[in-house]
Amino acid sequence: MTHIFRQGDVDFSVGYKVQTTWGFQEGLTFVLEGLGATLFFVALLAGHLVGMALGVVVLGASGVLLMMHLGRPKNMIYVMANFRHSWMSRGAVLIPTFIGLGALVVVADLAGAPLTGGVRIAALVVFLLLTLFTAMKSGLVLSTFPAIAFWNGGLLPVIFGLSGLSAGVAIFGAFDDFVTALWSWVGPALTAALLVTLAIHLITMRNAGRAAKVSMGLIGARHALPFYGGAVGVGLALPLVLGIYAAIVPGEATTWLWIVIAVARLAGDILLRDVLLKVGVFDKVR
Amino acid sequence: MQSEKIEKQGDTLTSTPTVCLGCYNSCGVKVQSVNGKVVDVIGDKEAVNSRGYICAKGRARFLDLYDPERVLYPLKRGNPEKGIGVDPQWQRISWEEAFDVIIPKLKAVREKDPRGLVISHFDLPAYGISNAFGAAFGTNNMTWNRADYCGAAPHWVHLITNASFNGEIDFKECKYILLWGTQLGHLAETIPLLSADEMAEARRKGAKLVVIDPFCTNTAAKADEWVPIKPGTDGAMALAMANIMINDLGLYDRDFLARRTNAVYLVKADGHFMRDAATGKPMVWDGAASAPGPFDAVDPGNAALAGTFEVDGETCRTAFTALADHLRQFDAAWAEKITTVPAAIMRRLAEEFATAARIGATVEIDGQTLPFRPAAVHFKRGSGAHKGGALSSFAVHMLNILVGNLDVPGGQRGVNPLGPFWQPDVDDDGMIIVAQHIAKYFKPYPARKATPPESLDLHELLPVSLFTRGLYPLGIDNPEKFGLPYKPEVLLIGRTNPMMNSHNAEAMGETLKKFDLQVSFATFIDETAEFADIILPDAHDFERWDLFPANDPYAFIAPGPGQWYWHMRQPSLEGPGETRAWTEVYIDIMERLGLIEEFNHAGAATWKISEKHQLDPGKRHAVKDIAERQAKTLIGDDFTFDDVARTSCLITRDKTIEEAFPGAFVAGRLPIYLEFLIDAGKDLAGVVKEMGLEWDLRPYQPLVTYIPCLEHEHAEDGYDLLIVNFKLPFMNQSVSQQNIWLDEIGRANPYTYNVMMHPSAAARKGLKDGDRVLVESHHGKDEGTLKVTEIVHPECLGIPGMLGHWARNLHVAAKKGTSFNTLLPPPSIDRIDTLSGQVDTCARVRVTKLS
Amino acid sequence: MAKYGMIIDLQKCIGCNACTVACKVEHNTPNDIHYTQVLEYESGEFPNASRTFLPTLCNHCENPPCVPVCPTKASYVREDGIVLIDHDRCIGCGACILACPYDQRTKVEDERTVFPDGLTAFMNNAHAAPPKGVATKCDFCYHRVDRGDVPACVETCPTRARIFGAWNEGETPLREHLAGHNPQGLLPEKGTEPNVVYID
Ligand SMILES: Nc1nc2c(c(=O)[nH]1)N[C@H]1C(S)=C(S)[C@@H](COP(=O)(O)OP(=O)(O)OC[C@H]3O[C@@H](n4cnc5c(=O)[nH]c(N)nc54)[C@H](O)[C@@H]3O)O[C@H]1N2
Ligand SMILES: Nc1nc2c(c(=O)[nH]1)N[C@H]1C(S)=C(S)[C@@H](COP(=O)(O)OP(=O)(O)OC[C@H]3O[C@@H](n4cnc5c(=O)[nH]c(N)nc54)[C@H](O)[C@@H]3O)O[C@H]1N2
Ligand code: SF4
Ligand code: SF4
Ligand code: SF4
Ligand code: SF4
Ligand code: SF4
Ligand SMILES: [Mo]
Repeated sequence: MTHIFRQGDVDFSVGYKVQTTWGFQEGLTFVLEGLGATLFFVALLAGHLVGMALGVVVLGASGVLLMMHLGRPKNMIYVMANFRHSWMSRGAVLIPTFIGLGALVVVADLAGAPLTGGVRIAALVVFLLLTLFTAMKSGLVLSTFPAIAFWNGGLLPVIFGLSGLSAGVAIFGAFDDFVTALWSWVGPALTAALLVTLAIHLITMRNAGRAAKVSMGLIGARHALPFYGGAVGVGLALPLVLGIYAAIVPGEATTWLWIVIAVARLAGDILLRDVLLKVGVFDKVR
Repeated sequence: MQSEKIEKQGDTLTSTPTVCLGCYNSCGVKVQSVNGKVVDVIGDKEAVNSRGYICAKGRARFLDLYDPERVLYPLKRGNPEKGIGVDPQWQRISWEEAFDVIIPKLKAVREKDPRGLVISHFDLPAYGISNAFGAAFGTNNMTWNRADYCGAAPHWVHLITNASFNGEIDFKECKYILLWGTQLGHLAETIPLLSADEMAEARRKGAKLVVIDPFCTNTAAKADEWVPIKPGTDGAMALAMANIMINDLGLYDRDFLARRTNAVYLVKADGHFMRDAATGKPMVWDGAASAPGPFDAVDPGNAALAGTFEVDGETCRTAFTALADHLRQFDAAWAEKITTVPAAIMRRLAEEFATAARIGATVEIDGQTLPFRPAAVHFKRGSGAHKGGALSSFAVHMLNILVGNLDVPGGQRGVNPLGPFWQPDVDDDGMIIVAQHIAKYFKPYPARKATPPESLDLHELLPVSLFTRGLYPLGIDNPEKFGLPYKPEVLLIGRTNPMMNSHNAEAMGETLKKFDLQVSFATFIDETAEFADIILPDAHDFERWDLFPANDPYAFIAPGPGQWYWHMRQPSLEGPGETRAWTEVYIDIMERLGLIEEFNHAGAATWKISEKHQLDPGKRHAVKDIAERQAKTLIGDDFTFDDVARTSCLITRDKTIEEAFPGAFVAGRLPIYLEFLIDAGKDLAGVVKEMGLEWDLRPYQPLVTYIPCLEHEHAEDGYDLLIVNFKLPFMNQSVSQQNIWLDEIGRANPYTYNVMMHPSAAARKGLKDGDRVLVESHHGKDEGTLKVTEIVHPECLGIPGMLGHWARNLHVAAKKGTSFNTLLPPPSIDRIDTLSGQVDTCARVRVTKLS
Repeated sequence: MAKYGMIIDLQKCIGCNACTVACKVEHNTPNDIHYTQVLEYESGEFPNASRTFLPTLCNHCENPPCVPVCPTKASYVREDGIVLIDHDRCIGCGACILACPYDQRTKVEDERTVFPDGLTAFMNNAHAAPPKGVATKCDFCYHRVDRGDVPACVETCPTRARIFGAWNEGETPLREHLAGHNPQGLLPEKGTEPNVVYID
């Protein structure tokens, strides 16, 4: 019988500890980061002003949520001052930069001066890079923690990145059913990639040491329903199937279908991050 | 930079050296304060008994000074109803109003029968005050305190053998250490900081540690071998081991037995010694002359240790042969059934121990050749607090006696039997008699005459006991039954919590209710103070003076080689509110009763003040004043308080080799044959018969035997686990759970606020780790949280410490852990060890899941 | 430059928790926050069962994962190897808490140090307590080390189970205490290279 403690429990027993430092709120922050950035980028690509504005707002909301989780937000200045020090500080500079630039684009568009020509191309490149970074950042942060074996792998940034990107694309699809054949395959492709990466991650984690095994155990037991039912079933398999369906038979793709896909992906994104955070387990020290 | 950790600008740190009273052990500490506020307590590096170390309890306890629940003013009970859970409705009163209640009642009691006053404190350095108070007042009921479940039985054994109150081990030299129901060297028992250091060093250097204990305590956790035993059966195991050593292995110290014990004395068929007609002295068999002779007329080298001889037409055996014959009935197979310890383990331990003792080895110290016996057993509460406690403890100690390790290098030792102004006596039988300064209370040997009781502790019916404080409830509840010509009326009580430390709380509550007036001296309103009529706010020991020295040599000066050192307790701050040290209040009461002269006179008998510094008989002297005179007597006329400004520890001189290793020097013999119990038992039998009392006379026999506990037998009623209790290194009795730092550790440590059950028992009962359970004995019940673990005897339920508070004001402590004591019944004759007065702690419980 | 470390002698430690309290007093750590913990684990089956006491504290790792993840550089390593947190810089993001494999860092959610009713008689103490919102941990008693003393837990330990010093300097360099032992840091596979090592 493995007794698993919670980090912060007042218990001087040697044992595995489930981390409690980052929870639902932090997970949601990560969701909003990936979602906002992707939404903005895709909307920029599609020239969709409302989408861009929404992307900026969502990204801004992630910042607010982040500040709410900090113990001493007034010291944020030190984070900025150490831009290159850690993934978090990089994020703390790049995400506000994203928000600032994004807002500028939105304002310019509102003012009747949408980006065009070379500037637009340059902006797309810059925002593509920023989006990829923002979507992956939380995964990058987690993957640098040697303490938690389940996170400490190269695939976590990819999983988090893909999850954000696919959720963003799905949501955008809900209010602008852009139906070019190519586009309709992007969503399912991202989702499928995520599913595959996730599967590889879980398989490798089965042999990544005792703490990772405990994490896997938690996924299989305590979090089985939200993970397999929610994050994987509703959040990945369902949108994947519906997305493929919509791509194959574009005529059948109603707005409602897009909304179902979007909601499922959003729920999937939230649940996936939440479960992955909640199964972060510290190894026994001895 | 990280947050600054500097003294605030302009603040200075004041350091007051004093003596900790966190437990009785009197470690030297320094109380650190800034601007009159205590901020820390650290160890005093110059204190010989603690060397700058300090335990968790000692370091944390300054919090108690500022606990918001501390009692700051005298209080009067508003609600006449007393009971557990009843709100006493305290009302603040003035000291004068308090005295207006107390003084007239005391006057009335004193006029009627002063023995109606009962005094109860567990405050060792201040007994000098309460005893003088009691003597001046005229009561003999002045020592109701802890002993119920403390060390009455082990003390009894040390008193008649080591001529000391306490026992210990020479950890510096010992190579085979057997801790038998004690946590010596692991932050319990005596001189804990020193012994923890030396014990740890011994382990490091390869000494073997064996711990015999039903629970894998902190101590057993450190053992090379933990030997779990069924509680209360220690006597059986020890007797079997002694049997193996004598009759199977022949491993014992012949020379020691012949010189230092009564093993060579000749025993007649009636059990008495064969005595010399002319001198009345016990006879021995002179092997060289092939003739008997008085023990002191025969060279011990020639005295026969074993054998049967004809003397004056009577067949006699030596006491040793009597013992050897007697022990044959206690074979290992028999003991295995009783103790659950495999016979093979007993055999191995006996052989390992006797071999490790290196019988015959010597060591050269200061030009003297001394026996060297690097193996020793220590025993205390665990093996002692049972029905046959004294004899079981004696049986365990027999292992020491057999290898002759008493008070010699490497061995077991008494705590300072010999000192600068005391030494043991020797009686006509050649037996050792402890010095009164070390005995402190009654001496078990020679036996007193049994008489119908005059005292509520009934000690008159336990003529070889040292004290019988556990029996107070028996006397208070049944004065008529014991023919006591008076009734208890007033209780002065403080720094002891019988509601939690003894037996079932409901029963103890009824006992407390017998008093017309209960005055509690209190720092906190604990479970006992909740029954008080008047509460007086007491000073913390950091706020008071005490008699000098605050460390009595009978327990709190390290035995063995070293120095004589004496500690001064001195206040480091003023008490808050209207608090006053209870000792000063006692002197106030004496003054108000017009008894100062009697008080000073009674005190003079025990305070050891030289002629030159005598008190003014008719004058009221403060405790500090008395302490100063005591210090001048002991240290020298030139003593001033400046001498204790840097450290509270005053060193007088090095111990002599005789003081360090008295075993090789003192003359008196110790008993392996308890002849004196025959007559004591006969005498007692007459008295109890006359009184029509049921009494247990089984232990009154000369050869040590095994007496099982009442609740050993497994009745098929579901009460199938024996409870076992042990101290926690970071908790002091029932005191420290209100301390938030210690409570934090208690909550974090897995073996503190839980009750421990073996997986096999849990499976049988369908219980699992973390379950809330009801623990019921036939006498009481409490709730608990279950921890299922391999580290407890399968037939036991481990209940740690003295926990499970319920007093209304102890917010931090309340409801934490499970009360062991409330599961025990009040003392009754079938649960009392009638030699020592120790009360049995064995009880069976049933554990069921709470929904 | 001296490099500090600690050796913990598990053979000597008796689990008395004197160190735990000493550290609390020294640092005014808030309720339920301990910079050192005397952990325990059980082994074996009755009657061959036992408990082991395992005092833990920040390992002042040679290669501390808590430092590079800190976005503010509040977590840093002193020249002498002591890993510290500058409470004035810390934003309380928790990254270092998740990075430490030993669960040695705690976020201060409630900075009160003593009684739950808000009476903080000890806040006005000789030492400052960590403020609310920051991450905090054992600081190797650098304030004591700087004035030539050993850490509070070391000074208090009645069995001398904790030995503090510079690995290669001083009267008896710490390294010398390791002779004849097989010192082990916790979780060596994490690559942190702890400066707190254990001997059995
Ligand atoms: N930390 C701390 N130190 C203290 C105190 C304290 O409260 N806390 N109190 C002081 C006082 S007043 C005293 S008297 C001493 C007492 O010091 P000790 O007597 O050494 O301490 P205990 O833990 O009471 O020892 C009892 C041991 O016996 C075991 N035991 C219980 N029943 C049996 C049994 O039937 N057979 C055997 N073989 N073992 C059994 C228990 O599990 C426990 O380990 O400690 C003193 N020092
Ligand atoms: N379960 C269990 N029971 C035991 C023991 C055990 O180990 N476990 N041990 C037994 C032994 S060995 C002993 S000696 C007894 C001890 O039992 P007690 O004599 O009851 O000793 P404590 O529990 O120390 O009780 C001290 C009481 O005094 C109060 N107090 C503390 N400091 C002060 C002060 O400065 N002034 C005043 N006026 N009051 C103060 C505290 O609030 C506490 O209620 O218990 C025995 N009973
Ligand atoms: S052992 Fe007892 S007297 Fe010594 S410091 Fe600890 S609590 Fe105080
Ligand atoms: S003070 Fe020493 S012996 Fe006690 S728990 Fe801490 S390290 Fe172990
Ligand atoms: S033990 Fe943890 S907090 Fe300490 S230096 Fe190592 S990683 Fe950092
Ligand atoms: S909590 Fe503070 S010390 Fe830790 S990583 Fe964040 S800013 Fe750095
Ligand atoms: S070194 Fe100082 S801060 Fe670290 S555990 Fe020891 S006492 Fe606490
Ligand atoms: Mo005791």
